[in-house]
Amino acid sequence: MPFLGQDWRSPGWSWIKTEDGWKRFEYFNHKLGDNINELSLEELDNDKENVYVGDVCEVAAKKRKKDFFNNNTKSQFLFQERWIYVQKESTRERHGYCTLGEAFNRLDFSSAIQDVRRFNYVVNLLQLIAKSQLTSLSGAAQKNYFNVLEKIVRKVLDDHQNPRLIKALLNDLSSTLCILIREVGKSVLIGNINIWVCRLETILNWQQQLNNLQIPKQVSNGMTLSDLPLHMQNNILYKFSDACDIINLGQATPTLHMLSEDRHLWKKLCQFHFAEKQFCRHLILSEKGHVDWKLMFFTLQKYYPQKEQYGDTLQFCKHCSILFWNDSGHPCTANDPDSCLTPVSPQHFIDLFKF
Amino acid sequence: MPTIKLQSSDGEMFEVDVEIAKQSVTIKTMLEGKWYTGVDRWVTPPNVSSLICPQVIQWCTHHKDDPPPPEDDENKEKRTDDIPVWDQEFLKVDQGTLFELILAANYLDIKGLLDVTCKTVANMIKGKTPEEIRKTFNIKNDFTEEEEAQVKQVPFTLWHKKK
Repeated sequence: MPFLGQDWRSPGWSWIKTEDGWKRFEYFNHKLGDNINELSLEELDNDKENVYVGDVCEVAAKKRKKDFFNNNTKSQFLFQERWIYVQKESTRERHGYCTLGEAFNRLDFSSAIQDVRRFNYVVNLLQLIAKSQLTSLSGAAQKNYFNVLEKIVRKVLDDHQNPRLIKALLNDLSSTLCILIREVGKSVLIGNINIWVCRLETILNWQQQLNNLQIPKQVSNGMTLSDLPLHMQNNILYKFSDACDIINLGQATPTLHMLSEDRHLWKKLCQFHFAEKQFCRHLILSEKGHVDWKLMFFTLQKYYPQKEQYGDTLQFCKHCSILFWNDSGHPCTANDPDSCLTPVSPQHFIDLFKF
Repeated sequence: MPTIKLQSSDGEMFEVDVEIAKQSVTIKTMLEGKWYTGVDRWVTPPNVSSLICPQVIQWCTHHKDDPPPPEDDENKEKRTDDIPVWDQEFLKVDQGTLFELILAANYLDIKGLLDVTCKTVANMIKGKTPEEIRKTFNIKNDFTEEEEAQVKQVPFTLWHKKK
């Protein structure tokens, strides 16, 4: 009697090749969609000699339905589980292929970058991978990585949102690639050296395009940023959590420069990124006896990491040891799913895959 | 449903529900003022043109069931990626309109609208060099050469991370 389950002994799935790599797909007949559950096993089970027990029935039924409707296929949809199991400790047993590269494939970063809440998160993740984990990616993961990277570059070239983030990523990536290519033979580099050289050329090309960002000329003669009243311009300065943005905006007009030097603005920035205890250790006073908050910020950021803030991050379920996006969910077996969740920072994501 | 009329700076009248108009703290204060007893009531917010007025009304109508914004003047949060999808679509307008909406939200004291419009502008600035910022907003470079040299002197030693 064949055993039908979801491990390596199961019948397997059908696969289709897409630009994002191989994806699993299932036949689906949407006319009968809602009625599928109503069809009984007896109707499908032509071979009455087979006897199935327990929840194996459901899996068997799925397979039978799939075969049964094979000839009635009206449409297909791409099916992919958007979560990945993370190995807790190093054991011989494997529940699935779970390396960093595989996580990268399964968690669908292509669509994540279109979501403004996840964009920074994905870019920071790519940056960390570029710094230290490139050699651990499989061939498919590498292709996927560069695919996502290309989508990001196209997006930024198109909507001009936050180019500095991408430029930093490409910088790190090109330095790492230069080192790896130079040391070919000494370090483990998966893939033909020519592919890597080609990728490096593409990156250099992208960097050039980003440095010459073509911002369309504003035709309207309406209001612009410098026409806003002072406290409105100030309001916008207070929205930045990155000191670079404050400095750069301050170099745009003399008015903005004056506003960007405001002590209170830098005080708020210090309070946002660092703790009170850290202030005391590095207190800097100006000649008049006031605290020089701008100087303090730059001193503090030398010693302590700045606060990382993301709109939406990957979640890790401690109970099932599964990594997933909030809206895709995962097959949780805990009694109280919400209590097991922790958000995962980009560094934490990398660490999860180090045994 | 009691309504109130808003008169734009160029004389056009727009009628809107009182409950929706009350999202503007300025209008709310005026309505609750003792001297405001006229039956045929209208308000003239300063410098709000007839093009911007309906847009403001549209935003307020969509957000009429929102909870009142928290009294957070300290601005502890520095998020700009949490603009709701409807607002993102609503704010896909030319820059002139965007800045006029900021002004209108400021005069009418509508915190929610002011918040999302300023965040949208902040997103247009983030990650750009000063030259790119000037190009984005068509701002003239008002610095003299000496001023510019002085302003660009960001002490790079300050940026080095302690290893």
